[in-house]
This record gives sequence, structure tokens and C-alpha cells, in this order.
Amino acid sequence: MTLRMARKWPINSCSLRVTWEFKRLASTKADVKYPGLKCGLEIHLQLKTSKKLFSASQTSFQDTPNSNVSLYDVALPGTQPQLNHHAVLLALKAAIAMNCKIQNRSSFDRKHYFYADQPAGYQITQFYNPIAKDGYLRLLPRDRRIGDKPLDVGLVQIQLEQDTGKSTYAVDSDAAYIDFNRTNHPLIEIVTAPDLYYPEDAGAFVHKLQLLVKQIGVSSAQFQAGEMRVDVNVSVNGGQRCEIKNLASVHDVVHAIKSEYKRQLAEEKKGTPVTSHTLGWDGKQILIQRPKEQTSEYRYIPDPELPPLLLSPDAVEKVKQSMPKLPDVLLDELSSSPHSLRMVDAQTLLKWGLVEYYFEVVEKLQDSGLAPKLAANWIVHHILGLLGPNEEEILSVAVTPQRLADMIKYERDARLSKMNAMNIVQYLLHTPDDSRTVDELMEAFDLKNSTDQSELVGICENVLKEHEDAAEKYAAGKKGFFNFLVGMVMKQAAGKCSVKEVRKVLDELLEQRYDVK
Amino acid sequence: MSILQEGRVCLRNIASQNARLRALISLRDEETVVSELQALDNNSSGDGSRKQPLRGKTVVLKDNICTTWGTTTCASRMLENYKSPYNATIVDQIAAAKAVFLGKANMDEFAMGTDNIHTIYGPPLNPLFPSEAHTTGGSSGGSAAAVAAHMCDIAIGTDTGGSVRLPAAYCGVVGFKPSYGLISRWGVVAFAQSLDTVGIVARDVGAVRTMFHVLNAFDEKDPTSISPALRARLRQRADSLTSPSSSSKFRIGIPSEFNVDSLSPVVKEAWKRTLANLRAAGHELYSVSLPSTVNALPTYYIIAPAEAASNLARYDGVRFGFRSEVDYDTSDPAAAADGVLYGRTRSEGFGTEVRRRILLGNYNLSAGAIVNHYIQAQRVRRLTQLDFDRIFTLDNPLAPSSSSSSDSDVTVDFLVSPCSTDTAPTLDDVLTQKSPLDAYVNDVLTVPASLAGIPAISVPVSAEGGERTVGIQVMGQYGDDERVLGIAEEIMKL
Repeated sequence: MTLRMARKWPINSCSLRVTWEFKRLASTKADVKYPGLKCGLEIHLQLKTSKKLFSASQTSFQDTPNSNVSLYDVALPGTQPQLNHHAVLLALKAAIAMNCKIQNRSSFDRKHYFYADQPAGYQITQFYNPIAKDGYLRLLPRDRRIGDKPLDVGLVQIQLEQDTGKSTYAVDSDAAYIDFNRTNHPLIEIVTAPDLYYPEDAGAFVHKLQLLVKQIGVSSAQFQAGEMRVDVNVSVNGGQRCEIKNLASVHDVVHAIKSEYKRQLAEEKKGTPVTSHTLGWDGKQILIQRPKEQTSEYRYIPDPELPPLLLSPDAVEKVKQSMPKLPDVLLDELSSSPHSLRMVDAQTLLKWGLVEYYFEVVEKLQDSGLAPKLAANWIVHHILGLLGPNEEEILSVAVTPQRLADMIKYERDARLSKMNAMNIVQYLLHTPDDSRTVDELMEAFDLKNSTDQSELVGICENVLKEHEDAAEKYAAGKKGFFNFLVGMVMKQAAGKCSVKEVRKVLDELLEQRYDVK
Repeated sequence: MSILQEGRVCLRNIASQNARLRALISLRDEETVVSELQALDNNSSGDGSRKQPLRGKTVVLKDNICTTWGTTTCASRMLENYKSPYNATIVDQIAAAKAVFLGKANMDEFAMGTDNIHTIYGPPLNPLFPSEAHTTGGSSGGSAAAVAAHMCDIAIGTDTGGSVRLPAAYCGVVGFKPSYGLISRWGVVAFAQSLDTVGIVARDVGAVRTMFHVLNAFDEKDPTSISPALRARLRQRADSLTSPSSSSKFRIGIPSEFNVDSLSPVVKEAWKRTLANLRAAGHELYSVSLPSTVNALPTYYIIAPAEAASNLARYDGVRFGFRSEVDYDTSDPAAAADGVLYGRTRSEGFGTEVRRRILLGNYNLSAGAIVNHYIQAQRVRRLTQLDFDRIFTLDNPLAPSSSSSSDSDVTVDFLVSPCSTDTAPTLDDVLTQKSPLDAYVNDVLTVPASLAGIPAISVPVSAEGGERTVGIQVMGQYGDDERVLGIAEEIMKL
């Protein structure tokens, strides 16, 4: 038994069906690998706001079950909804970011069905008049979509709605447990047009959407936490569509579509036309859950006590002005002068939510004469590998932009090795309260480059003696052994020397001994 | 008389009459009540309670108003043992004004009914008829009966389509439904929110007014509570209209559509006499027409059950309230396979009238019917509101464009009509009604004001022969509550 209710595709309207047919014909030419495939998505996002959609209880639903539950959340008689305006603001931001037409007047409707984790017997959603309509999100080749042209994926609507509670079923009895913490958590549902013709494009869309809403602070959009839930509608060759429910990662989206495509094609070959079904995905294969009802009877009714949501054009304009830069703008900016980052590095910064951090470090490096790219290299290629789960969130507090900028400068000045810089990073990640400067830390932990030239030459000679075989292999042309030797020297010098200097000395010594270039 | 002495009169009346009248279905502990009354007598204004408007008044609440004391049953098996963890806003307001609660009043189950016969506690009886059982009217029958039998000073009811006015008319007391949205509904169990209004029952208009002033306040917990800004505008208008310099002679409309065929001679005579008296007192009478109100009854019976079906979906036995011994009807494997978990609970927990209205409401909301029924009904409702706006001299402060009336139209300050087609019927008569529709038609005179959200009050006027009373209804423009109370008071004195 699934918890999620069957949803209509995309809404119960004949005109949308026509669009579907039209787009299918327009698309088939370009298809090579998946001829006749067409997908649309329905994505639920939990909004990043501290209060529930219609009550004042907290939204931290991972707490002890039923610890964040108000009188309204459990639908006690006589309780009434109070709209969380912050949730409206977040929905508005999402709508603006996805180029939607904001509706100056939207309203709330009740969608009825009985379920134990749906306390009121209805979900408040926006069926008749959603907050936003007719948007699009542009997929670019760099988003790893198929082909070398951009694709505008149409958005039918964005609606605000309540989440349900969570049911857990006991394995050893017929007991069911209900946690109402998630009840009434604010969600937006995003419904796309059936504009996706490749499984990879669907994956790229989900990934892009995820980065987008994270970047603008609308949702944390973590699949594992249930903050993002994806349903995919799939049809082949204009046949009936089937809906795969609750896909839990980009990978699952891509592979479930591929699998469903094959299934529908096989059915077609057998001469059994595909009939509309609700499907599941277990990570390996499509599970057929139940036939889709012809028309779902949700008895929608405009909520009789929630006033319409009126948004003045001025207010919408204000939100537009206050929008942070969107990911595509940031990627363009990062990949062009003066940043000139490689696209993949820029995307990595974005994915980890570290673009702002990067900008701050660059600002601190402004008068150093160092290229901004250097800061990106440090973050993407050195620091990210050191981060534990979710530690990217504390990075800017622990390794403040000033500290990172200092370390980058000191490394250039040969005062601090990168190796010891990373030791400092790791120390700070574990001790974010330490407020000392990089200088003070270098002093306290004796990390300053202190190895003088003669000492360094001595260490290098020693390493060449100890690892003669490696040195010989290098001399014989196996260049990779050079870095091994550098590493050995750094280790013996306890990192208190600059790699550049080590390379120079080693290079000279090897040249003297083996006459190599 | 001291507060305690006055309170004891009510307690004595409860003790002697409630077993027969069934007006109250739960009582607060008598010792607690007495000590509260005593405390108010003894208190020499240390906490300012002497200045409190309801000081020492005894109050009962319809049992769909949530209180942390006692149960809040809605006269339904579904909530027979339900204890609310919180107070309705109005309960706190009344307590802060130093009234003393005596108990909870009988009602039609979930406020659905016209004769208060749909209650698990047995129908309350009308105190005006000691020898033969007569209905109190519904759904706030217990509230009206308690006031009529002097079991309390003031009773709180709820009025969705006439549920305070009709029982007041039948029981010979005053029943007031204020403008929609003035009194908080937080903690008032919903029947049909777009119509539900807290109402006040008392033996005179003065007591109603005092209570109204206590309750007429913005409540942020109620999304339909009228905003402080609009309240300020309404107050300003009321102040200027009731200033000593403004005229106390009014233009009174007689709505021809309210002269329905089913009006009994006794009601018609009382209406005519009231109008004649008003004219003799210097007011002007005008015949007016509200053509859309002829559709008010079917409109009401589409909107209210639809909202009710939605509101009552929460009663599933999972979190609170009644739950059937058996979840599934095991003899019906289809039902079990379908996952119909709550059928038994809801069938056994709700009474026949509630079940009927849920079915009616769900039908009207179903995909095939909603556009033709519910959406259409909302349009007709809008027409009804426009009809009233056209007739009243005052503008509707909620309407976006003012003065929808053309210059040639007659406009009036108030409308005066009967509140019910007849005086209270006998219990036997209503229990032997063939069709539920027989009860629904009684609402024909009260639902127009509910659909329009305008203030309406029923005041008792003695019937010919003097034995019985007839409820005369006064309706005014939205927000004109103070003047409606004023003219009602005058009618009672005529």
C-alpha cells in the first residue's frame, strides 16, 4: 500500500492532452535511442521554513515522533488554519526562478481522501487557482542533457500544499504507527509539461531543479530526507501513460524511465496496449502497483475559510528584485573572466553550495595578485576531499574566507606548505570555535616552513638514498616516481617546507646523479 | 439581589426543570459555580472585575463550543466523550468579562437540524409549552430553551442558516446572528464555515448587546475574522449613525419574497401588527423585492452540506472520538479490500441527519456535479448578496464597488420579516414528518441573511391572544449590527 495518493496528469484537462499529442509528433524526429518516449515530472519539494503551512508548529520533522504537532495539525474540532507567509514567499521565489506567470489571485482548495496520516480527511492544495502557471526551466548542454542544444522544459503549474503525516507499519503485527510531525509541512508541487524525450534529460532536469531551489534557499531538496520527491509519467509512441511514484534520486529517475520504456515497448510488441498504471521502482525494476482509476474522485472544494491569496504586482516585483543570482548566471560568471574557472569546477562549487564562500575568499585575495582560480582550486581539489558529511555547511564558519585567503597567500610566499594548510583546515573543521588567526595557529602548532636550504638538501639526499630504486626508475623514464619522492621529502620535513622548493632541489640532485632531464 | 442569589435562581431552575426540558446536556460542578459567584460578590474590585460587563451573568454554551472543562459533544455519538484540550476564543472572552458558566446546551447533532430532534441526548422541550411537548427549534434549541426557562442569563449558540434565530423565535426569546466574521470561530466546531456565525440568545436585547460587545473583537486565530482596519471603519460608521443628532426614524423594508404561502395566520398577523406599530412610531414602510432570495433555500442546501461533508471528514476514529468495535465489515470482502477503514465508525458515530447531509454534500462535490451544483450555488449566493446591497441605503463595506443601487430604487435601513412560518410545532408533529424536506422549508426565512452574511435578529412579539409569541426578524446591512440591535429593542417595546 502506498502512502502517496494517485495524482492526475498533469491536471484533469483535455487541453493538456492535446498539447501532449502535439509535442510528441514534434519530437520524434530527433529521437534516436528512445524513439517515441515522452516523460513529464511531478516534483514535491518541502519548503525551507521554520513553521508549518497552516499552523505555528515547528517543521523539524526528524524530531521525536509527534513532538511538533499543533491542535490544527491533528485536525481537532474547532481549529482553523493560519497561513505561513514565509512559505508563500518561498513558493514565489521558486516560481520566479522558473519563469512562471505569478497569479495575483490564487486560492486554496481541499482535496478529500481518507487516510490515517491525513488527519482532516483532506489535503489543502491549490487545485483551481495555483500560485504560478506557465513557466519553464532551460536545460543546457552543460547540464548534461542529451544533444548540444538547449531545451526549455515547460512547467504547467506550481502549487502550494500540505504534506501528509508518516505511517509506519509494524512487521510483526497489523499495527500502524502515525507520526504527525510531517503533517501540514509546506510543500510546493511542480508539474512539468511532457517535454522530456530522454531519460538522461529527465535526470538532468531533476538535478538542475535541485541545485536551483537549494541555491535560492527555497528547499534543502535532499532526496534522503524526503525533502524532494519525484514522480515520473512515461508514455511510449503516444500510448497511455504510466506514473512511476516516489523516485528517490537522479539515478533512479534515469534508470526507472529506461526500464519503463523497455517494458512499454515490450507490451506494445506483444500487441497488448499499455494501460494506465501506477508504478513503483525498487532500484532495479518497475513494480506494477495498481491500475489508475479513470477519474479520481477527490471532491475538490474551495476552502471555505481560507481567504484568497492576493499578491500585488508591487510585492511580486519586490521579491524579484531581492532574488539571489540563479545558478546559470553564477556558472556564466564563474566560467568567464576574471574567474575563468573550468565549468566542472564552477558546477562543483555550486553543487556544494560554496559559490558564496568562493566569492568571499576571492575578495580577501583581491590585493594579493593571485588569480581567483587559485581559490577555486584549493576549495574544489583540496578542501572538498577533507569534508565529512554535511561539513560543507560549517566550512565558511570554521575556515573563514580570511583564513583560507591567508593560507593561500602564505603558501605562495613559501611560508606554509599546502600539506600543513590542509592540517589546519582539518583542525578547524573539528574545532570551529577556535578563533585564532592562521598566523597564530601556525605559531601554536609549529607549522611554519622552517626547513632551511642546507637542511632541505640533506633531507632530499637522504630520501634519494633510502628510495634508490624509485630514483632509478624515475631516471629510467618513469616520471611518476618524482611525485613519490617529493612526498617522501615532505613527510621527512614534516611538511614545513614548500613543495616548489622541494621539487627544485630534487630536480637538481637527480640531474646531478643520473644526468636526466 | 446579590450575584449569588441571582445565580442560585438559575441553578434552581436547572435542578427543577432540566430533567424534563433537556436544555442542558452537561453541567459544571455546582460547588465550583457557587464559589465563582460568591467570589464575584465578595470581590471589592481588587482585580477590576466590578467593571467587567458580564460580571456575575450566568452563561451556557452550545455544545459545539470547545471548553477545557466538561465535554464538547456536538450532541453526537462521535464526540460523546470528547474533551477539548483548549478553549474557544469566545470562552476566554466571556470568562475574562467575569461571566460564570453553568454548562453546555443541547443542540442538533453538529448543528444540523431545524427542530433539535437530532441529538443523542433526546430533543429539548420548549419551556413555553408546559403541558404539551413542543419543539424548541434548532439547531441551538438547548441554548434558547435554557434562556427561556431562566436557567441562565445568556446563551451562546451558532447560526449557520437560522440556528439561533429560529429557536429564539420558537422559545420566545431574543436570538441574534451578527455580521459574519465579527465574532471569532476559533474553537467553534465547524459545520459550514462560510456561513457559521456565533449567535447570542437572551431574554432582552440589552443582554444580547452586552455580550456582543464582549465578543466583537478581532482574533488572529480565525482566518475569517474581520480585520482591525475594517472594524475601525465599521465602528466609525456606527458611531456617526447612532450619534444623538442622527435621525431615529428609519425607512423599513417589507420584503415581498418573505410573504411565503406557508406563513401561518398567527405569524402573518403578528408581522402586520409589528409593521403597523412601527409606522405609528414614525418609521416609514416600503415594500421591497429581493428576487434572488427565492433561490436562497436550495442554494443553502447545496453549500452548507458540501462544506459539512468536508469538515466532518476528520471524524474517523483514529485520533479522537468514537470508533466502531469493528473497523471493517468483515462480511463485505470488497469493502475490506478497498481499504474502507472508517465506514463502520462513521456509520455508527453519526446520526441519520448528519449522514444524510454528508451524502448530499459529497454528491454535490463529486466531479460530475460540482460545476452544476456547488459552483452554481456560489453564484446564486453572490446574487443574493447583491440583492441586499441594492436594497440597503448603507453601502456594503465588503463590496469592492460602492453604491450598486440605482437612484430610482427604493432603499431602506432595515428589513422586517417573520423569522419562522409558524410558531413552535409539537414534538409529535415534527417526529412524524414524512420527509426531511418538511424541516428544511422552515429555513426559508432565515437563510437569506446567512448567505449574505448580514446581521439578523429575532425578537419575540406576542401572538394574537397573548399566549404564544412570534419571532419577528430584523435584518440590516453588513456591519450595521448596532442599529439592528437598536430597532430590535424598539420593536420589543412597541
